[in-house]
Amino acid sequence: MDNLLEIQNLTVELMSTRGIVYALSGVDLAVRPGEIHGIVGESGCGKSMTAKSILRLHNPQRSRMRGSIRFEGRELLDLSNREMEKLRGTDISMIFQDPMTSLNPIMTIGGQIADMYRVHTGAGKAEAWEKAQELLAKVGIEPASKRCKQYPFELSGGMQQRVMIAMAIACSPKLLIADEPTTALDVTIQAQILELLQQLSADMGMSILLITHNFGVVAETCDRVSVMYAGKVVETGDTRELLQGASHPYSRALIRSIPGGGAKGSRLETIPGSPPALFEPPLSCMFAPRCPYAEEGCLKAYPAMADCGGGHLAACFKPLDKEVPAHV
Amino acid sequence: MSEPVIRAEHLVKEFPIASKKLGEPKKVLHAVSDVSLSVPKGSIFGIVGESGCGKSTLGRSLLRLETITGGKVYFQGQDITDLSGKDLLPLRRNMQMIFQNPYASFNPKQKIGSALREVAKVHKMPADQAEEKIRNLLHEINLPEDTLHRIPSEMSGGQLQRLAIARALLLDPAFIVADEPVSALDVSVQAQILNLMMDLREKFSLTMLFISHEMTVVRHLCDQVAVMYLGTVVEQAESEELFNNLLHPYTQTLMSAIPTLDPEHKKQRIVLQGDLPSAIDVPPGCPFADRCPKCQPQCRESRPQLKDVGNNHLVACHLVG
Repeated sequence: MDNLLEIQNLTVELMSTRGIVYALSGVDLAVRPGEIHGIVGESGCGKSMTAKSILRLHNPQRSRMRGSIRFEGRELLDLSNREMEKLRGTDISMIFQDPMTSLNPIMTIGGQIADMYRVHTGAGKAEAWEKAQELLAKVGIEPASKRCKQYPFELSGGMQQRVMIAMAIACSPKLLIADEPTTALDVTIQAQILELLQQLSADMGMSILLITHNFGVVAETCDRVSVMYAGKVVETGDTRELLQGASHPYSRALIRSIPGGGAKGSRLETIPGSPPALFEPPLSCMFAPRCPYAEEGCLKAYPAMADCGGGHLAACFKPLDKEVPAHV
Repeated sequence: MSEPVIRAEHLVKEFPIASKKLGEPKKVLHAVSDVSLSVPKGSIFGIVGESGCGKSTLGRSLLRLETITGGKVYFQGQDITDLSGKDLLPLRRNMQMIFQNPYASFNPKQKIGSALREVAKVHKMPADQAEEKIRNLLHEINLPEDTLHRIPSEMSGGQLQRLAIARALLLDPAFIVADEPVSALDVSVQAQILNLMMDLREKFSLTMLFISHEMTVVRHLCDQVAVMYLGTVVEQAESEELFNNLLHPYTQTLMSAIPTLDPEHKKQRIVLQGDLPSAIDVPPGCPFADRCPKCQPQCRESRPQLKDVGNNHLVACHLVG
């Protein structure tokens, strides 16, 4: 099966006042048609950076991108700005963590959706307004004809996120990038939004790249998942398989630090130390200084992604055995 | 049984809302309505609920950072409901708070050492004693001594939150309110902070009100748990009893909405319709009635009271017990 999106060896370097930041150093990622693919990792590991790179949202004057991002076989890094603009919102669209800051506070939600639709399709005003209502109904904001005329501040956070989703799916994109779409929401609302995303993905055959820091969200929504650490993907695989038996020591430690598995008051597993600052290009395994299994070789070279059975890839010289359950 | 460290009786906190038009009747936001709880010495009391349910206001009211609209608050047996200004000062020393975002609770230009010493100075602790105490606490929270010469932007979120905990412990308070202390942190750092809290609790026999929106964290840490919805407690019990025997429909939905690692879990998911109703025009019946999957006609007519259904398990629902 051909991949819808294929990222190979993507590096992103950002200029900062303190020098070059190696934000991404060789990301490999593939999203299949129709699947929900999760990217999970802690703050600063490059999840959002990867998402923004796909849409080329970095300031070109202050960043340098190398590698390859192929979408339906087209190389996105070679496209002109105009071609890229055409792609954004029609073939690939994106929703963000905080819907309130993404919506225009002094414009009705119907107006915003209609405007966006007109820009991309050249439709007339009346047609776009119709479409806006149809989209709102599709994401569960009813009665749409009345809600269309409301302003963002009149809606709750969950409803605002639904508006963002309505806007993102207006042109039936093939890929939706959702950057922490439920992090600002309460759990009961989070459940509603995740349900909606899954349903839309199934109905429209749309792939979703879901970025989150919550393994629980991944477990319930994603078909496959990639774990990121310090600007690299360290493990990729089928969600269920990875959660039950992570091969990379970092993924496993991360899964084990989630409370809820052990008895009340039992000690939670922690990862000693903190993630590396990204001011130097990585030459060895980035996790080695914190890894309980690290050996001399780990500090000398970066491990390539290797298959540990059934399409499950891990970037580790000493991948862990699957038999040990990851979450006891 | 000895006197609990903090005890609230029928606590009510309302905020007046300015009327938008002349002559419009005044409206009131019912942030906390009729909450009673007591936290015994050495235990951690958890408050869970979604945003806007009044959990932070409850914490602030117990510390008397808010004036109280109705009911009583007792601290170590003393009625502190109506104390004001100067009379509260000696209490402040005994009651401390830890906030969600450590970057916002430290002065960004002030060195850590100075921030910690200031606390001691305000409460007239002798300088040499304070110095020794600070060094001891740094050791407890596993940070090197040169931390004192740094400013907050040089620290990570987890390190700074540990310092916030140390600052709260500096005066040996009898009671601490921790308002979402781990919500802004990554899971691996969150685990470190939770471990630290469990250690410190043993060592200093801390009494704490732990406010969180995460059921799993509360379950892991707390002895007693109260679940809040729209300003009222809907269910309260010993932690183990509550989580093994979820009785209120709201608690059940809240628990089932949490994404877990178990792929089978999702099938039993109860997805709630709608949002939290406004705390300004609270309906007369059960506050949860509009969203409750088991709602009956009586639920819309009268508000259910908290009642004991055995094992000190309190539930406010017409359909339980």
